[in-house]
Amino acid sequence: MTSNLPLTVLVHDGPQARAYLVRMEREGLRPERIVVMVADPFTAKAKRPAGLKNVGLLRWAERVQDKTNNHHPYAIRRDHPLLVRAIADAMEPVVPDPMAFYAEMFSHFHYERFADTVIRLPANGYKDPGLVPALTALGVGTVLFTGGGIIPKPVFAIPGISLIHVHTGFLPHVRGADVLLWSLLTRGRPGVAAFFMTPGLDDGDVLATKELAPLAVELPPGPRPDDDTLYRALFSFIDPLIRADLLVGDVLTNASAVSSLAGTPQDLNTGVTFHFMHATVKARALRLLYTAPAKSAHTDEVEITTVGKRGSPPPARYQRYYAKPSVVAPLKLMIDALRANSSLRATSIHNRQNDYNALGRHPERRALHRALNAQLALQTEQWPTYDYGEGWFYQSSDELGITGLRNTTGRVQAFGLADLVRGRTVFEIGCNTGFLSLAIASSADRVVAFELNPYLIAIAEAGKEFLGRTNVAFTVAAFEDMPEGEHYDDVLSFANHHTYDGNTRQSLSDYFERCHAFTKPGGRLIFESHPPELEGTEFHRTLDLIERYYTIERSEVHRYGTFLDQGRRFIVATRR
Amino acid sequence: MTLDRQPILEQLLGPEAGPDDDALAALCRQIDVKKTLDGGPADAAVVAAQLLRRAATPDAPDHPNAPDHPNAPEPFGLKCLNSALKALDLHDADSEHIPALRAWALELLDALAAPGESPEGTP
Repeated sequence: MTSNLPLTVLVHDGPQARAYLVRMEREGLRPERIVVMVADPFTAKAKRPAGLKNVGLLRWAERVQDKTNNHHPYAIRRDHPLLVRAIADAMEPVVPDPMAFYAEMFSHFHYERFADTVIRLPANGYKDPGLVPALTALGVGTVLFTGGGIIPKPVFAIPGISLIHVHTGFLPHVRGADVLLWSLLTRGRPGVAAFFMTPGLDDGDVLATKELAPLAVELPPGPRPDDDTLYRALFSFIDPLIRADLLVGDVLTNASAVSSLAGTPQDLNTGVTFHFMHATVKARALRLLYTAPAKSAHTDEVEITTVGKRGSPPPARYQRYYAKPSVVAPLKLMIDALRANSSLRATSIHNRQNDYNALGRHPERRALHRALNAQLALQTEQWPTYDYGEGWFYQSSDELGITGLRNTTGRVQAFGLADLVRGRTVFEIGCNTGFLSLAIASSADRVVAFELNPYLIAIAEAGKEFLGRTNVAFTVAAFEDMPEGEHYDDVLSFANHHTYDGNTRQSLSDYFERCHAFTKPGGRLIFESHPPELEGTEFHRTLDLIERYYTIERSEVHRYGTFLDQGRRFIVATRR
Repeated sequence: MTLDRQPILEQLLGPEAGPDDDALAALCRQIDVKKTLDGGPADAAVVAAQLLRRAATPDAPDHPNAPDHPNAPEPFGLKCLNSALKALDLHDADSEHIPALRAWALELLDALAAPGESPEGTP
């Protein structure tokens, strides 16, 4: 049920405003109106009034503003997806499913989704002379401030206006700048407060304030991101969610609450007004917030090098070619393919060359391919086992323009997977880069997929976002560690019943017993074998175990796709 | 405060008690907002010494700004330390005392903001 709030959200576009609106929408709250301030690229730097009288110019300026104000979250999501996931894990107590929350904030975001009335106002900040007349004409009452500068006194003088601000410090103890980091340093935990703004600094009557549980983000294995990146990630993915949580959970709970907001005066003799942190102090605070990975043998000294394992061409070497079109790259790839010391590597490099050439026809995929290659580069250096770290894709995705060693489209078509899972819940074991899950998600009701290798899951998440698939959830986990509880219509076991990467810690019998435990009564196991030469003469034992828990309905071998696709047995079996 | 700071403090600050917290807060604001000090390099060392001396002197437990946990660092002291580091950056290498003051600041930071001493169970 939706509740309409007597509230104007005055938007300075950025993570803070977006987090407020996404959180409001999640709670079924819609503000009366959104006023988006749009800076004029022609006059903003000179601090002159905004022009932008033409609607087309205004739209263009809004796009420029989006790229400028959200540059850091966009870049961090692209270049550091594992960092974002680590932050999301730490933010779970603040907001459910933070990864989905970030996607709502930074993928295809449109203000029209959050309010019936959206007004775009040309304004170079709060001092723009057009702002006060425009807000006065609108007759705004309660206004939510979303950051972006200091409010000048004339705005406070607008008749009937009251401005609400959410500040990431526990009032009255922590005021000023960098307060989230100061809170971590001086109080050991984040704090947050909502208050009525005044021309003073964080001294208005308090609407709500609280301290949260201590917060620590366990960084993913690999090189520690630099402090600038970690600081920007704080303001992109942590700070906005903490503010939104208090705002929506404790202040804007419903329409009548907004109509009768009343603050409590602060004790202005208590507390400290902090200034921006010196780099040395900031580094110390960031060390408290972002902790080293607990379970990894990797250290801060690990860096992506340009030398791959076993002489394979390392994806790090190619990363620069994805920043912008390169005429050198295809030539380089062709030479590397010719020099490759195995046909598998030659094929992989050749696939990469074809995919790279296709970016000329699909420039919208360039940033995605850059992000995916960055993950391949990282896992080449960081992931200790098996060959997914050698810099190529195992799975293909036609939708993403990725050619791997397995033909996903052929796999889906040969097995009739789209029809098999139509409208059903699916659980995929060991999903690799998730391209198969993404391919069947368009017909399935919901897909839950997991994979031990976090770099592959980072690739899966990037693909999911690019395609806008909302009914797929990816998780980093071993099958042995997946909590039982939910049951699925179809459990997909595609060449995962035993692996030769040394990562499996359960017997074949245990494996199928767990498959059975995740299958609904009447549900199915959809199974694909390894190639015949890997299954060997013991495959009958695998079939016996399947039949212990399931009744085999279909068992067939298909001829399609690459040499790695050929000869595998495909089985559909119903749970006993 | 370690004894070897004492000669520097005496040379820079003399025997006076030094500014009170309100005056130090004003100095912090000047450093942060104006990014300059009235007296130039010599003033940077004096101001940094004043701020560091304050950072090394924790609030009395009944002071309204005192931390509510015995292991929590003293907030106003950390604020002073932060501004002292900024003051030293404003006029880097223009005073013979600046390296020693910077080293003292880092020692204090280690003491005041040691990881793992976050207060647990405070409201």
